[in-house]
Amino acid sequence: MEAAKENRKSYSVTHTFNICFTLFLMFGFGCIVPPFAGITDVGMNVLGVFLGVIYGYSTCEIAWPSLFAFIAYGVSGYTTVGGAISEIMGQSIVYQSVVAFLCAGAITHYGFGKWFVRWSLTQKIFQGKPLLYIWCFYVVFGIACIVINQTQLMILLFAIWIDIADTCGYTNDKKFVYTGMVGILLSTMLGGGMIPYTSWRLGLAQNWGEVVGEELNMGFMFAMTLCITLLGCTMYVWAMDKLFKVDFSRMKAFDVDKLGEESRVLRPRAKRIIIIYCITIFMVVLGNTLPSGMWFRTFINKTVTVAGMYGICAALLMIMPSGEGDGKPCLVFKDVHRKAINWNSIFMCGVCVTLAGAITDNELGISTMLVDIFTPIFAGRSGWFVMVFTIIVSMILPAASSPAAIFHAHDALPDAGLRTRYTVHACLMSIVAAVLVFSVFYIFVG
Amino acid sequence: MAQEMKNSQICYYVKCMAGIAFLFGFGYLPAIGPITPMGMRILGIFIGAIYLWSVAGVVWPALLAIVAYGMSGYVNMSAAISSGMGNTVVFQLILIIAMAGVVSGSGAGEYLARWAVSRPVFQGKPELFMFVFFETFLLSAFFVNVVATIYLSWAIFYGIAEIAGYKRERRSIPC
Repeated sequence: MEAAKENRKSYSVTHTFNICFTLFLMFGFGCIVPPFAGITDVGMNVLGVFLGVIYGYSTCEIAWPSLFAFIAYGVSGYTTVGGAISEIMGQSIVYQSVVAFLCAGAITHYGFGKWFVRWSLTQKIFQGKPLLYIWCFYVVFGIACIVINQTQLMILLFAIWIDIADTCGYTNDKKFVYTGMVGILLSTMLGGGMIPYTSWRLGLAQNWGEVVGEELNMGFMFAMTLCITLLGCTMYVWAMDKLFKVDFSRMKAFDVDKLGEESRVLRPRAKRIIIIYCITIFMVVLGNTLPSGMWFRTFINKTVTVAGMYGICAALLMIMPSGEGDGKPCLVFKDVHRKAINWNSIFMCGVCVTLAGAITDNELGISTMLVDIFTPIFAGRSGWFVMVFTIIVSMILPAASSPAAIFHAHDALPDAGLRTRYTVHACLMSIVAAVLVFSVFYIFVG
Repeated sequence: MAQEMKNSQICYYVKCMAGIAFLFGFGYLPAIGPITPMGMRILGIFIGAIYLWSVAGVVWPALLAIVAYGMSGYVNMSAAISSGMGNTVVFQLILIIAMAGVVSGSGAGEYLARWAVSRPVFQGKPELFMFVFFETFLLSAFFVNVVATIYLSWAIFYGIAEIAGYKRERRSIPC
């Protein structure tokens, strides 16, 4: 009894302070801090919720700050609690994430990961070369993000990376898991921005072109972003080895025969899942690639949307027979959902995207304040400054975007300090890569 | 046995196809009476979802119903997802199920069950116990919330079943 009492652990003072401060920011910031720089009273409340959420996520955990955020956002005066729930949980990205987690979970649960590890590691080119293997992994999937939805691919790659770590015996090696996952985030983010012909990126590119009064050369831009991706991935893989000192010896000496016979060929169930998944990706890619005005493009992008396509994909997987003669569908929801669906990521995603949308509402005055701050910073500055500043800000702002939210809330990355450390390194490397490539192009092309 | 399984699978897929036809095809039938063509589509989705939930499963018909609703033209896909996933009841259910999980996982359900079963008034009187159990939760549902009460009562009832040595497949356990 005495020993049990001695072993009892209570919250540290710091942790208690973090909890209280998170709640203060969410519920008290708007009441206590007087409005400044043109921000309205409601704007102060929303800003407080946003700051509280970010602080809570960084110092405490994901689930409870998200739940309090629902309430704090609902009582901020900007909307009602019902409206807040509807806005946060009703985000398309929430639905998309749920079905993406299901599909990715099914792919790895039924042995695709182990098969992939065996198949890829037995390729002659990668034998005894773990760094080349990881570099190719990042570059190939990074480039794939040109056409494949970044969030979907990232969720799938996270699941595959965890499978690789388990298979090669790195389950408890934080460095391998964390740096690998950060690399996936980096490569998919870089790859996703490679061709700005879809979604908000096209709008941003067009606006930029209008502001500078020149038509953007998309081919030239692709060449630059491809170089940045290749250089960024190379630098990151180098850093994994030399800077972070990740132990690759187990991967180097890995004997694929240890995996057993079942990983030699893909199970019929896994094959069917992959086929349906690939067909879905193909349809989405086709929808994005066809000339605007074509019926199919409008149907996929406007009527069904990407979220709907992946919803159909998950539903089909739950209908189609497995092909293994067990009378079950390809995706058995009960088998997959507990391990696959990451509620932390889903909550964080919904909350961040909603709050980020709210603070940019002109009526709250926050965006006006930001414009007032940034205008003198940009005035009279060179293209170099604008570029570096834009890169840094765009790296901070996506903290409120869905891929970053999914990454930071992932169950496999519970250590916030380690996660942030590696992410900051990755960001720095992509900045350096971008500045280098930009400089080379600037010097030689002008 | 194999033939029986094959037949049951064929039957399952016929039902699935019928349900999917309701979800996506019912709206193409000529509108009946005062129902508008759009109303026919929404009605088809409603009937299809209910039918599929009854004969096929829960998860995929729900996912597909949201997609069908978004494609119906009544709302766009974002609005369909928003009104489906963003409904307050969905959020409420997530929290209630989590809370019920906490009640049963922390042992609170079993503690409450032990306390209730060990009252002298119920000793040797299972019918009286069940009557009081149901009446208590009836009142709770009346004053608090039906769904929350259902999940809490299940968590406690599972605790009772475990104490009494019943297995989940027994008819007295609401699996």
